Amino acid sequence: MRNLKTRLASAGVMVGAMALSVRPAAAWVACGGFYHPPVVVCHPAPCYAGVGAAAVAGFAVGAAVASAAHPTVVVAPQPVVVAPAPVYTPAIGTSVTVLPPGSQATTIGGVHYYLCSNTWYRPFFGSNGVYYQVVSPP
Amino acid sequence: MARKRLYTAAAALILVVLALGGRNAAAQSTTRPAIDERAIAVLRTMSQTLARASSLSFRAESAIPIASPTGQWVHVFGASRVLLRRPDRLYVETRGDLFPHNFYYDGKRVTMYAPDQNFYATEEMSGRVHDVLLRMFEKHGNYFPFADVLHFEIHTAMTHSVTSAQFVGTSTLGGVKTDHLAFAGGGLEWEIWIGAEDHLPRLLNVTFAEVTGRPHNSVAFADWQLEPADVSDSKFTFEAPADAVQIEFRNPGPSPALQSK
Repeated sequence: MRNLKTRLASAGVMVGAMALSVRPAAAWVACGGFYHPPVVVCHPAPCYAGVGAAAVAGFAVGAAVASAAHPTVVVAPQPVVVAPAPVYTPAIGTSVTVLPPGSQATTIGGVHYYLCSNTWYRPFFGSNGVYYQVVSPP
Repeated sequence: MARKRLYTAAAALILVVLALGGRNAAAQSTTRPAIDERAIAVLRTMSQTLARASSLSFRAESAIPIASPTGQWVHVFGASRVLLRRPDRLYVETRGDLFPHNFYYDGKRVTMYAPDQNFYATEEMSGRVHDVLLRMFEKHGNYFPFADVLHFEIHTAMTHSVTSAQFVGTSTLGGVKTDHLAFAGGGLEWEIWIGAEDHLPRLLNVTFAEVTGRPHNSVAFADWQLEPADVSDSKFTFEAPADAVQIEFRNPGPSPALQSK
């Protein structure tokens, strides 16, 4: 686990669809509250770092009582601002005006991306300003 | 005795004439033309005053309508500083509720720069400023609420589909005496307040009469400068800051519904 993280940190890129063994509930809290197992390791800082203790505690309770693969409770931390915090994985093509907090910036093949858990966002200049669209992993 | 009768007759004659004249006046008011030439003339003078300036700058404060989830039109504010050098240089700095951005047109390319995110998008484009603005709108949906005053033939552009023009009166806005005009036609009803002395636009309100809820947008102009001192090329050319990231123009399509897994 430590070696993997170090390798990823130094490479600066996400590995892609790498199937990982089922992770303990505590790790899922760190990976931003998605109830399905993430296909990639959460890059250094967790996507929902800094979320209020209540939200994290709520998720921890939910994950603890549910099975590893199908938890029955999904508590996604809701930021106060307008940004839609994805409760579910957003479909490719979804556009948001504010990235989920803690998203990681990365550049692959000269193109700028943001990654939050296993959702890739790409910034564009639209008619109303900069927005971020969910794209398939590069 | 005869004189008295004369006066009576004269009075009767005057009354008859007045009555006839009154009827004519009534007939005239129902056929008053929809276009008041005074309004057209004031607008034309404004158009000529602006067109004569080879460069100009102003500040524009706008309120743009957007549809809220309940269907009510709500307004967001933007404030822009504009620098125009004819025929093909434009620099606009916009801040406010509308996303902060700088727009550069240097005759060869257009660039939008978002200073908060340090992103920019750029594209080759050339032509007169108002043609470029129209193309930006058609291609990328970018919209400048003050674009009308950047047109090179404002008078023609603003009146070509007008079916009614009124000279409403004079009004003092922010200490400036203005002529207040009202126009309608082409699905729009709009009013403009133009400085009575300097013939520069001060306020423009446009109502979209054929859109549900009749939204309106509003632009207030200030700090007019005709032939400002510095209009060198460098003011219109975008120099990317060291770590600025280039992204693409793309209009968001309709979002697919969020799916659960």
